[in-house]
Amino acid sequence: MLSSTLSLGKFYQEDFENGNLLIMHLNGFSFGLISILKTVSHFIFVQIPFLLSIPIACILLNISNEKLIYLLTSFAIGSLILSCLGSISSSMNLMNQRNFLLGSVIVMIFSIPVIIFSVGIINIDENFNSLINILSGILLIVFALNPWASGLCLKLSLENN
Amino acid sequence: MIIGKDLSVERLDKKIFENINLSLSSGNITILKGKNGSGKTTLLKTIINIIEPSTGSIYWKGKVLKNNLYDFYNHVTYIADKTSSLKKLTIKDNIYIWRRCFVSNINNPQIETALKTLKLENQVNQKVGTLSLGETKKLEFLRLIIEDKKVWILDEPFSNLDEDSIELMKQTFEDHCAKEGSIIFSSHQNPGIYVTEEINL
Repeated sequence: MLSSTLSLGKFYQEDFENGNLLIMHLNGFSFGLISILKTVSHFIFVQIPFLLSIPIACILLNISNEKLIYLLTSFAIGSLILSCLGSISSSMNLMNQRNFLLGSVIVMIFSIPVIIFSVGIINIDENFNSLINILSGILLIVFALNPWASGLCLKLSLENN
Repeated sequence: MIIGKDLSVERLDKKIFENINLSLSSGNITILKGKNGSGKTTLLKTIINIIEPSTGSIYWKGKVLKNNLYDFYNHVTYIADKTSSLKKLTIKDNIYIWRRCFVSNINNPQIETALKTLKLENQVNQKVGTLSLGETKKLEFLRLIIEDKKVWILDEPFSNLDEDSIELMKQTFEDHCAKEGSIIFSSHQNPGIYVTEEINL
């Protein structure tokens, strides 16, 4: 969550300022597709390194292999949710360039359920599937919302730039 | 190719421009003239469908632009007044990215010739952030060659350019029109280019 919040500032800002968002759009990419591509690239370059560090942390903290699988699954789903939320909030920030706080607050509020369910997984021995189902449900909702919300914010911010 | 009918744009209840008509056919050049803040950039953004006009509509090849948007984008290169090159990268890297991004058919000798014509051949390995404003602007024009599209929409193409570069651009405009291309550009004043339509904002 910290890595997601810290990297939000550069999610769209640089591409927006140097006009590359506009170039991508004029190249035939809809705003929704741009937001999906940026979310996936954010997940690969910001979240995957953390995902890779989890097995090392588990060895150091003496966490069993079974729980390691739980952790990896919940982190993979949870971090993709955070990337989607990050995309929405940073595209909103483009319209409000002076105040970065708004986007961060949105990420924090909507991230709380993700954190609760992800952290809960490590302490639960039997109900693993139910928690993963809830996380997957949240992921599907934000993944479906992301292109619409981010795309609209990108369009509005380019319109008012 | 492009027809705009009764275009008006309002922002925050303030009229930026109203009832603008324009038509651009193959081989034509249209200039948008006006003072600072008269709405030249807004009109260009309206033409490329980034800003919605409050009244009027734009047509591309006889169809409403919105219904034919991605075909329009396949034929248009838009160069804004801001630079789109990445400042942390070299000229060579930026060209590489553009060629991959626009799936360009332009080959290396053509790029080298263009760089020589623009007098940028010695700065190929220099970072864009260290170039002067005029050199960055000239690098931006390389996109016109890399994208190789019919319609050029240019925002203030002659700002920050020296006389030689302006002459070069004038020649490039004429060559593009001779190949049945068309150009819309905004400028405070016409630097001596033969234009088929002049729109005063």
